[in-house]
Amino acid sequence: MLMAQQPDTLMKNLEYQIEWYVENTENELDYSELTEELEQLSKNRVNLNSRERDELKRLFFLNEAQIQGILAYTANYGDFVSIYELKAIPNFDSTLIRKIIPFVTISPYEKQHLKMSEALKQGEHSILLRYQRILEKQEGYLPADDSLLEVKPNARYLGSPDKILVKYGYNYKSQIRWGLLAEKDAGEEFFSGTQKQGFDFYSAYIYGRDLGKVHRFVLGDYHATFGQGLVMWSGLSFGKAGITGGMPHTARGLTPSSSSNEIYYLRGGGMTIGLGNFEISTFASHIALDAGIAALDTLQTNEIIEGLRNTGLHRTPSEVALSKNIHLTTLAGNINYTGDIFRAGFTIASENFDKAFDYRTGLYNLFQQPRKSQLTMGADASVYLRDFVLQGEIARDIDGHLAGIFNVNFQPDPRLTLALIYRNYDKAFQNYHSNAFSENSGVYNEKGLYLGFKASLAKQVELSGYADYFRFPWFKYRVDGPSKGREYYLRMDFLLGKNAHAYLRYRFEQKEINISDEDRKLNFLFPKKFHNVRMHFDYQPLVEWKFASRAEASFNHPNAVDSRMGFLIYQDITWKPTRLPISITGRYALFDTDSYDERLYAYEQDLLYSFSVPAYYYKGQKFILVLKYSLNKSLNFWLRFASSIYSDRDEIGTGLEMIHGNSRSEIKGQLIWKF
Amino acid sequence: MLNLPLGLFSQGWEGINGPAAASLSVSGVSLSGEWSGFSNPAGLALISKAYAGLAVENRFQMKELTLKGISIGLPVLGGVFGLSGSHFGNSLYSEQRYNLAYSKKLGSSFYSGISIDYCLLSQGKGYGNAGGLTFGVGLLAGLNENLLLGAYLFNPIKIRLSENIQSEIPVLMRLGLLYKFTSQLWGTVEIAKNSDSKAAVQMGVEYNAFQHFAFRAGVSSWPGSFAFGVGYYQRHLKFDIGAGFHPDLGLCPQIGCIYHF
Repeated sequence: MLMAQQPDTLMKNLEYQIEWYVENTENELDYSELTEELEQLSKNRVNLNSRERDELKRLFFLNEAQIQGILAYTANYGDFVSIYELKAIPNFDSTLIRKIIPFVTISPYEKQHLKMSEALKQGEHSILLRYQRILEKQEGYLPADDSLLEVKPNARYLGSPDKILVKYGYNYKSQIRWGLLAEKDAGEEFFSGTQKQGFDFYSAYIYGRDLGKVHRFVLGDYHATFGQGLVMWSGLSFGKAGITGGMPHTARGLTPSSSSNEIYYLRGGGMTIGLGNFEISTFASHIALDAGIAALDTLQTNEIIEGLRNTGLHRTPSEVALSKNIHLTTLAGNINYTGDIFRAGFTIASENFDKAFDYRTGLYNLFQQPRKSQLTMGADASVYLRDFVLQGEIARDIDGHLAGIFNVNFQPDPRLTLALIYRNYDKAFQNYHSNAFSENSGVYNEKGLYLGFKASLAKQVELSGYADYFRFPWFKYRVDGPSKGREYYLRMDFLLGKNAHAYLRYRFEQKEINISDEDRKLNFLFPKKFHNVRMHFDYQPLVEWKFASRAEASFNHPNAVDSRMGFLIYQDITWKPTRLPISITGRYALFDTDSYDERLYAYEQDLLYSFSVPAYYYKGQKFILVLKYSLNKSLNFWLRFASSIYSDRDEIGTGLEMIHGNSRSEIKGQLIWKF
Repeated sequence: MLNLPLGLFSQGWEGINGPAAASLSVSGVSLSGEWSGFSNPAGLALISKAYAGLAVENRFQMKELTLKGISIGLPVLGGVFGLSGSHFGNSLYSEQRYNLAYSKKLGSSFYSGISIDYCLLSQGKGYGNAGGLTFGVGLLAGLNENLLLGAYLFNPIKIRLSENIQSEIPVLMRLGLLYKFTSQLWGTVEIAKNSDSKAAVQMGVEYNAFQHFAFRAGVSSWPGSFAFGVGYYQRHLKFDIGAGFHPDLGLCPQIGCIYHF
């Protein structure tokens, strides 16, 4: 029973991280890759006795120092006999050991040779079909007169409100994988009109790992993550969420892209070759993006947006017109050396758009006029010295602007980890595929110092937190001047017996934003303050029943006068009978926020591989019900219904998304077949 | 007077939580007791004997704002049934809630309960009555030996008694913890949200001494108030008295007794 619960620990952790990520970036992305990877990992566990760094790196939630620690341990003391030997390695505490148990095995190490014929036949195929739809009629789907559409062709969506995802994948021990994906978003046409090719988005990949000298190869859609992300990090990175008291996530080199995110991926191919302690990666990509100057989906024609669009939505004639009208070619490479206590790498990326940009923007974008061609290079290094881990990367763009990040991780005692991260990104640094630790959404115009810690205060109490101080040397959107800010975060976790876990957290953020004053012609800056407190409980009082309860409040002080509040309370229940092949999970939530700014994010129960972390705002209640039915081990069905009912408004959303009513309901269905 | 929080007027729908909980400034979501039918039906499961109880609470010493309640309960069939009624207001306007609750122990330290509630809005002078059925669900879970968590949800379907907007029954959702410092001393904290008013944080502490006495005190963030009270326990009888105090609005005395058969 205990074992059966454990994969949940990491899932829970992932939930928290994604929740936090969304809260910090407001990006709604497809996180399925992460869940898929965890599932694959629990099926093809990592042998801790492996002497292969690449094999251990599959435990992607470990950082470099921890992987190095495992390798050093087996090199010095031979094979692990028990997983609890991990406690002897710096950077491993009992929380982390508990987390990784479901994903590791301990068996004598022997180098495995891949037999191609086996790899092509004995893997697992899977097919996923997913359907979802908003039940209420949104503005974009209401009937419209031809005369209206003649004047305003973008007043309605072209397609149906159905969203459809079809996915096929093959996996042999995470070593050989391939996959296909097709997606139609709500509002897009399907096998007709503007979408004669059927779905709006197609993606495919073939991926191999550990094939002799070829450490990795990928063809099709993929991600590339190197160093600390200043030059190349095309996948997800969790920013602050990923590193409380620890270190940034480990760069994973080339990995396949199996998600339906229509941005943040590379398309082409790449390969990593291993030569002794060196690894050399080269990869190329050519993707079509949406860009242009046009009226978007709103009813007003004056709303003009320029530059790249990254929604991946093609629902109206104008959105379709913008589709794939600019191309980005990426050629990049990385070389890195890995020693026992030292690691260094060099990354270079050239990015070329096939059209020049013509930006009309505000002053805040003065130093971020997109270039047609970019050439960025960066060097990164890591040193592992006893209780210290030092890492850094510095990058230079084509015009000589620099960006640098440096971090130290110090573990003076197994119960205490300290972290310091300093970053300094030039206001004019510009690189398309940068994605590194930052407060801003991009890697530019920021200087900051982050100090974090994680401490085990008692066997059952863990305290973690950070303070982050940042400065933005140049203007930002709605910030007419150089500005500064700070953020504090404190979280206390309690392990209450075997079946209950609770945490309390507090977050404070202060950032300067524009305030307009009638007496003054110019905007001036005001330090806007934001507090957030949350308490959360997960408990399983009975074998078949799991519960979660949360209450959370946010307090927003956007100017010297106003003080606004947001509140969310919810109760989750999961019933997983041991004798029946079903599980039922549900939520009831009450929320009440003074405005959108006090919104609260919460992870929601969803279909497997589908993560939702929506914002709760305004005033109302929400129900969620998810049913899972397993016909047998290989065939599973899910059904999800969610409905929000608002008590303070009778219109929901804006533009074509608007619902003329006070409720918004969504239905989702999914089938996964493995063979 | 006109500045009274609206929530104070519709509090009749919360039922009566008993003078013991009121002396702690809480609803009692993580407490178990004879009034649990209104505050969290899961709490009834801890009652081992049949009982009958009465309670009266007066708000701000205004006759019109009087809350009265009656409750009887019986342990049967491995669970506990409770039947309670509350009346808030006067003959011209009153909010009444009648509650049939059933609660059962399901695990070593896990209790759950459900109630069916009839809400009745009664207006005098020929305006007539309007009533509707709704329900409540609750749980009490021991997180460890000393810590108990209570959660309660009332009226998630948000019934409306008539076309009149004022007759909508609010949703109540509460989450609370009870921590036992010793067998004589414990504290409770809860977060209560009523869909019509602001969320409140409420906390209270109770100390049992001299075998027969309980001393209680508590504070609430919305409306900002505090409370105190004393209980006297005999073999069959429980007698509680207390008062809530709001700095602007004044005193809310309450009194009640329970007889155990």
